[in-house]
Amino acid sequence: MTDCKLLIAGLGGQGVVFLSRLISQAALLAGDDFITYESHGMAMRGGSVTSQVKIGNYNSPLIGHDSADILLVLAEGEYERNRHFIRSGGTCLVNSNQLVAGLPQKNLLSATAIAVNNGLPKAVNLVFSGWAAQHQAFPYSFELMQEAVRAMAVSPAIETANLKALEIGRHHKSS
Amino acid sequence: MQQVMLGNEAMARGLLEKGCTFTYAYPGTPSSEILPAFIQQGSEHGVAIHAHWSVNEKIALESAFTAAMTGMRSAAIMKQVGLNVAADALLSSTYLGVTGGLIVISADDPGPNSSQTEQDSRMFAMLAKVPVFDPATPQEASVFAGRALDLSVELGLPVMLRPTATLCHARQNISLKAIVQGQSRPEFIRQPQRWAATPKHRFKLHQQLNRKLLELAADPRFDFAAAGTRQTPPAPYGVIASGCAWALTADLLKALPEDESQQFALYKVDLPYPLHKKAAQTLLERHEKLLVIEESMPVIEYQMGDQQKICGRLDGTIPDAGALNPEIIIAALKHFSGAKKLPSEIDGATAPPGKRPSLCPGCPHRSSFYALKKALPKGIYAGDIGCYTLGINLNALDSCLCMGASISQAGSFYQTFARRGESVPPIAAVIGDSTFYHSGIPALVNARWEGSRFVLFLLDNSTTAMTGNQPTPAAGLRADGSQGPALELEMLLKGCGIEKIEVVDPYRQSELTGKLKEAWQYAQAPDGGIAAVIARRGCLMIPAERKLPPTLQVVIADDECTGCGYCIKAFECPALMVKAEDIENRITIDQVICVGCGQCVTVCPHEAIKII
Repeated sequence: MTDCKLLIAGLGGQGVVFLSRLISQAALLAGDDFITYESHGMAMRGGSVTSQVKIGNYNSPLIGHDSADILLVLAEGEYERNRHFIRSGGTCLVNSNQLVAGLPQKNLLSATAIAVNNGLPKAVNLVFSGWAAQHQAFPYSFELMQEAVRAMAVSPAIETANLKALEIGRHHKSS
Repeated sequence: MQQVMLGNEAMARGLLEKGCTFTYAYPGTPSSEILPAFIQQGSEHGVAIHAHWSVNEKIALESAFTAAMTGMRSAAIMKQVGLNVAADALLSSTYLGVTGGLIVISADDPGPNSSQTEQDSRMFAMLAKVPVFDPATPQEASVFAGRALDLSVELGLPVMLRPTATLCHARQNISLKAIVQGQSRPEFIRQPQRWAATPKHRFKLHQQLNRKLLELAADPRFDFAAAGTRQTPPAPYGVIASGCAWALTADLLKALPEDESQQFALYKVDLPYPLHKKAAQTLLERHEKLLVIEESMPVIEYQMGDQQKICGRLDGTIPDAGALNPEIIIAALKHFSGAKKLPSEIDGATAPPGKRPSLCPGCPHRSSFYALKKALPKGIYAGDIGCYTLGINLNALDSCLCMGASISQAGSFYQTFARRGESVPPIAAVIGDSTFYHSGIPALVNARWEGSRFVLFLLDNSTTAMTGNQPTPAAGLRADGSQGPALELEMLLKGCGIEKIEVVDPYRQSELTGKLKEAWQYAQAPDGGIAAVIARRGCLMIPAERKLPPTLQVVIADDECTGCGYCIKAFECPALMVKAEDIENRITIDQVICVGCGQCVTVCPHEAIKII
């Protein structure tokens, strides 16, 4: 049974909610209990957004300071606001095209540029998670994330595009 | 069987599992997904349901109440501030009671994240004398929706279910029970003394209601002291919590080292009002001290009696504003047990503020606000509730009180200046189509009657955008996808006695600016009055609207951009951004999110924004 507290930060419209759903879909496939929280409403209009995913036996989806095992940041500007959620020894992965103070190179990916260059500008979140799934701290394997994408696809075209984005992320080295 | 569901979907499921068939709602974050989920799951299972987006919450509650007068199981669904709108119906409905089952779901928004207030619907339930459940998880919300309906039938009273945003938008694996067909035949038994009770009968009904509530406060099913008694001797500190506050507290206590967590006995309240009397007394006797953790107001705490032994919101152990979070609860627990003083500042106060929300790229409202500022500079812009409240970012919004208030406020601004013989500044009421239907119409009838003069600027994007694009009466499309009669805004305005009405596409900015100027001139003319300008263009969150022209290629000429930043300040389109690492701070267009509306072209004072 996996036990993992995962926080996803980004901006409204980046697919933060989708990513949290994808990870919980993977949890479902793995047979793990989970509870997640997603931002809705006003925050969805381009503002700062976070989603919280708690895998394991929890009642509340809320994650406290110094307690997230993983922080996934889809918009670099959101790192500073959310870094205090990471527990000591926790992992932070950031979508960024430049260095981020305090983070090793291997924790950074220029996912936006990669997605745009591959003609998948709306799939930054998937490119990012394909890459993130390679990291040891990520709760689920790349293969399980693929399965989750398949399970969530609403059409074959979307499934193909999303799997492609995930695969692109997998083969990219950190920025 | 299990299925992953949002808290809101789980509540809809719970209703269907208990034969609820008539459901009315007005959209509002965090409650908006309940009604669509009810329709989807109900129709998937072939249940004969009727679910409708009412024009406002009061109508939703009146409709659901009436269905419950005929023996049906019904639901009225809204957000917490919607309950304010429905208050008149709610407070009366408890005296009358129901013959079927009536559940009122009122979703709270501590924080607040998407609301005007942090009010606690449970407090409202107390005022209205409505029993209220406070679920802790999506799974429990599904079960409690059913329990609330059953209790309503059993007591013949409306019963409230109060989720908070944390639950509404939490997602987990839900255990499902079978969906059942509700009662098929309505039966209305005439009882004028009850259903149309006069004040004399109301007194008796009030006494009956009080008796039912007293019995409920002694009902062993809600004895929250019964659990957690195994510890001997009892833990010194008792913690009483309900809803999401309980869920968080339970998780946090579990994570504490055993010697610390053993100091606390946690009790869970399912029904915060009426609070189980004996349970409260038992816990006051059992523990040295009690801490009450609840959102967002001290509803359980007020009912506990002996305040000497109680810590919570009233004595400042828990802050009296803002959503609960792990830090607040840990600090409260430590303070309560004497382990550590309350910190002077909780929460990541040092974390930089987040990016504020803004109107979407290509949003027609942005063009409308830009034209308004141009047409009526130095005006008073009375705003309202919806996406267009974000007009504040564009410095084009001066007030936002509550749903529909833009029109009353514009009228009253006019009256206060005019009646004091002052020169009247340009005044505009800025209101969206859905809000206008919700509560703008009576305000407009009133303003015209009172002789007020202003520009009624109706931002008609043909949808309830902020809450997820629910349909409005304009096109007649209903919640279940069926087609009803359409109702044109123009016709409605004419019916309210508005004689000057213009309809303009907000993408035609200069035309819109001209019409707004003209409208204010009309409002000032001796024989003038309220002048309406309808800015009509569909919301781009509707996929079909995004495919419509214009789809232009917009670029910024590097050599002409001076980096003055005016476009960002005055227009604030998310697609306009400062170039990375450009020493002149020149602007560029994010082609990924730009929709090609071309509306920013006229904004640049240096004409650097071009269509190619």
